[in-house]
Amino acid sequence: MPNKNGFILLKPTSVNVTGSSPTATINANGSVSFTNASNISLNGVFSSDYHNYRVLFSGKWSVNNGSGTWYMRLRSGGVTDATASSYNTQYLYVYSSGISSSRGASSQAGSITFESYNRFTNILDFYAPFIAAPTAYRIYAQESSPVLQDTVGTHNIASSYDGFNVFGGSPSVDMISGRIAVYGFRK
Amino acid sequence: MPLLTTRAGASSRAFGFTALSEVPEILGGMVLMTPTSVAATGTGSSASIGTNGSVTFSSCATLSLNGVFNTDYDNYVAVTQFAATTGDWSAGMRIRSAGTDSTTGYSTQRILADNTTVGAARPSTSYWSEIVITDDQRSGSTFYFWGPFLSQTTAIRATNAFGYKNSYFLDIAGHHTVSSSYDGFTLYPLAEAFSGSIAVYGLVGT
Repeated sequence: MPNKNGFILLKPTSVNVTGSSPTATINANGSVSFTNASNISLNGVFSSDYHNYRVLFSGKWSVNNGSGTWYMRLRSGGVTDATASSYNTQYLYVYSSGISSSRGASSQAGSITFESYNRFTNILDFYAPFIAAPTAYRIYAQESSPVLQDTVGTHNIASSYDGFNVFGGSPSVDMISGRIAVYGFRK
Repeated sequence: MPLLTTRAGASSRAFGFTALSEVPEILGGMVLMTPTSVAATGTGSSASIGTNGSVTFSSCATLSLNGVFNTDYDNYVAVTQFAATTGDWSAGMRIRSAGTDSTTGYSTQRILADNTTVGAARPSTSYWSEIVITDDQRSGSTFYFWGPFLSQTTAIRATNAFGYKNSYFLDIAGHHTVSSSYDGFTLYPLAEAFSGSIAVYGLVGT
């Protein structure tokens, strides 16, 4: 059988955004460009065509200055799952010679980081979100000072999810502009 | 591996050809590989190769993919999602050639974060150690293989995602220093069995 392209850029069926006069556009190739957003949802981007996905989430603060943390939640049929303690997460943070880690169960998974100085890209890996079983996830984050900041976990609800929501920790001030691209690993 | 393949019947109208003509399709940067065969052990185990080349497996105590590395690509990524049959377990990995696992020459550097405790270790075993830890719900892992088909040291990097009950951070980097050419690998659970899927991708141009 012929070898097939293995890493496919996917197109969401729709996108929702809130923020400070925000915009969000699904580009012709499927990526999503947005401005001044504090909360973005991609719908209909996970399906039975793929098991696993990688998301490249690029952005830079567009309103106010500083740096801040964003979070991820899974989504199905246009509804975000924010069940308490459903995202079991282990964090690892390495800064210079310091290492810290912690574990928590929350209604959201993080950390996704952005700042006003540079446009950075966070990587979000989703393992089998569309299968009606718990979803494993991994988030690789970036900061200006080079750090190793990773998030590992599992969402413990055995449902099928067709999208995800990302949002700022301080919605009133934490607006970013950037782009989200979702890739499916062909199965 | 040529960068151009053909796709029967695709976009024929755009090119003004008949419905049976073929047009070139430019392969992307990651190409889904098709193993020449798979092997599974374990009570009631099964493993099959899908239409596009990914492997679906069930109740496997070991799972081997053969003929998935070749001269077309130097470097590869494998992505897997799976669950243990019961309980939690860890797994190793061995690379193999012509259906036989290599059992020597492995070294592994591990970092493990368990709540507020971070530890590291460099075990020497007959396999890449604890390349995966899972539970009985859902886990995911991504493996990066650097030069397995080249007759030199093979390097691996594994990143994991899991934690239905207790989440952990576990990454490993490893070497296999027996300078030979390897065309596949075996996932080597230390206990239990697992079910899920795995797909291997060749990295074009590397």
